[in-house]
Amino acid sequence: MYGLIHRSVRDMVLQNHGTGNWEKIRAIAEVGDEELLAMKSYDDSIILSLVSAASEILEITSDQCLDEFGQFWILDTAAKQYSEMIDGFGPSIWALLKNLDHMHDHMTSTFHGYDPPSFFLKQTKHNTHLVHYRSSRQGLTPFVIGLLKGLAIHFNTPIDISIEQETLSPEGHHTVFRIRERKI
Amino acid sequence: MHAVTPTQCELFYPFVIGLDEENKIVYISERLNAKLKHGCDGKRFDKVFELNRPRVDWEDKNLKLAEYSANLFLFSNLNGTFGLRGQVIPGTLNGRSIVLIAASPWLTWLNENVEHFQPNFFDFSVQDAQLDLNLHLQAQTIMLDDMQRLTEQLKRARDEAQDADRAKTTFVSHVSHELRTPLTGITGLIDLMEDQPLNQESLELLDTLRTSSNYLMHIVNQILDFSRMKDGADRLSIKPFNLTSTVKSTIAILAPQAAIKGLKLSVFVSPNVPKWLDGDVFKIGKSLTNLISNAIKYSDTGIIQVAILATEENASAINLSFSVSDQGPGIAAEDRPLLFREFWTKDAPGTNKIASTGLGLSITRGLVEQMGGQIGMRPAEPSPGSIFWFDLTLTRSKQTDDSDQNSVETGFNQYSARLLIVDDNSVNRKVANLMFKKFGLSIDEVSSGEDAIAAMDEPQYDLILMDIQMPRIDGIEATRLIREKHGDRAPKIIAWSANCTDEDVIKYRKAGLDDVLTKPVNKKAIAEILNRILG
Repeated sequence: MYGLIHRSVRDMVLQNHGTGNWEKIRAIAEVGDEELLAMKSYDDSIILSLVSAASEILEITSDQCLDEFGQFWILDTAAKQYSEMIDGFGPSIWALLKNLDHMHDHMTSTFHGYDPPSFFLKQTKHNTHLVHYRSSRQGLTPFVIGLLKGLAIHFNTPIDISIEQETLSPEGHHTVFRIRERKI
Repeated sequence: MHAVTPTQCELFYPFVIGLDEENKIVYISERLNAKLKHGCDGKRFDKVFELNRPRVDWEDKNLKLAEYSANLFLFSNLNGTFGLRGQVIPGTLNGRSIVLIAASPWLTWLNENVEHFQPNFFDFSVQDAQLDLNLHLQAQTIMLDDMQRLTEQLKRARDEAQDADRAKTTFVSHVSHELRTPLTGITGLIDLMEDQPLNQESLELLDTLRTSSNYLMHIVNQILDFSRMKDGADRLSIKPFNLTSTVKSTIAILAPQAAIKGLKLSVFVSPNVPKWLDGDVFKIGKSLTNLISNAIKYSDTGIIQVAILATEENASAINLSFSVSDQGPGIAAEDRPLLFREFWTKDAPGTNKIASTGLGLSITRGLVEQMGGQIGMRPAEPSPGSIFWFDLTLTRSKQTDDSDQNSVETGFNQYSARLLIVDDNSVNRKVANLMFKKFGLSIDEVSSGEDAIAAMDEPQYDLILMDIQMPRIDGIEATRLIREKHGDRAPKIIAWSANCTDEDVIKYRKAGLDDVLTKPVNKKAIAEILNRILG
């Protein structure tokens, strides 16, 4: 994963849980205090160690931790640092989810060592969409749920999220989310 | 090539413009039309857009854009709100042949000309490398931000480290000064005890005491030299000097140490080395002293050869190579790169443990580099031992005689004069008292600047020996007040301090002090100063 993800995890813990907890988490995860470069690819094990340590220190499950991070990524990191890019995706959560894959395609062709997930959006009813999430990484479904929750808040679009199907294989993780837009 | 319809073209390009044979716009894609915000149907292309590339003559009635199919079209609307890049392809619209300009956003133009431009993903076709370029540009911005932030962090860390280093150096310097004050007293008293009638055993004990105190003084001085060098306080002082005399006096000082170990010191100065040169005699002497001392320290037998050769010369300057070779055990190849590092020490093979601060060579390197020279070491192959060398470029001096050489008689000339010694340290006062007394002076002592000022009201003194660092009223302030009160009637005042760099001396002179005597004091220096002032 790129360093910008690691930095966002650090920012989330610092902002939501304080410096003391971050230092404890960093110590358990054996992560140094050096600055990580946003556009450099780092080993996934760093994030996994941080999540594991965070759930231990914050006394929450790993799933809760990833969910919180997913929301933080959209509402804080992306909103503050990449807001123009988010706006470029389109005016709605659905436009964004459609173009997200478009952007990931181009990033894969452009950046070395980039292995992003894939999101395929399919409308089933006028207010219901299926989102196919495919990733070579396993165990990040709760993070995606957090992302979707964050997007719903960002676009002021109340949604209900359920998992329609989840498949684990040596190739990775495939989760189908059913997302229903609630009427305001 | 088969002509395509604008709709077919839009499958591959987000923005499409159709032009008839008169280059009038007959089709414009909906998304582009929305961006332009002005109707452009039926208008000639150049009335809506400014074509940057290719360059064409719009007034040419035979202009056919289809002939430019190998060109990259770069254009913007006349309002300057949107830039496009594309190509022309043959098209068809309602059975009529047209020219299609198939385009996508011209990112570099947009980034430069449109404030806060952010392309929408719908503005790009799937294959469009412009989107990749856009991602690259964004990544580049993020990386530059990272680099800037990291550079600032590094700069902050460096500044903090330098501050800490300065604080440490200042602390070490203060401690060393404090150590030198009592040491000055000890060495002075040893000097005086030599003149006392002592039995053989006492003389031997005195000799051991002198060796130990000299070594302690050497360490303290080395730390002070190092501190001054780190502070950058040790400036170059270029003056005419006699190189041969400098080398001879250096050898004379170190010869006894060499003799004790059974070592022979020999000197060779190339005949074409001028006698008089302009340079920092103190730093050159110190560099030579450090290298020769090291050679003595690490050698048990043989000859230590000091050589000064002129390697290159012209009418005004000369390159000199100074070298000190010994026949000691030599230095292992892996240790050679570390030799000139601060605090690096290692016992030479085959020698007993040798006390060292690990500062001598690093100070010497600092001195040589300050003088614009180079320093190094090479093995004395094929024989054992090492050759330490440094190269300097010095200018020939205009001075050619020895008239201003210090050549004062150092015997105990007697003077009929009254001296007031001012120092808050009683040992220093005592040492100075005993030493000056040998020159026949009548002496009083006071322990503060205030007492010195008060003493001026009563007896008539000819001289004041004024310590500089004293609590409350220091030597400089006391001198100023005495001068202020007594004017020309005030006695000559000699600054007495361990801090006697060129800058210090200028400061003392400006403050009204007449001369400077460096701590630790010795009889020769006293003789010289009394000769200057009273002689």
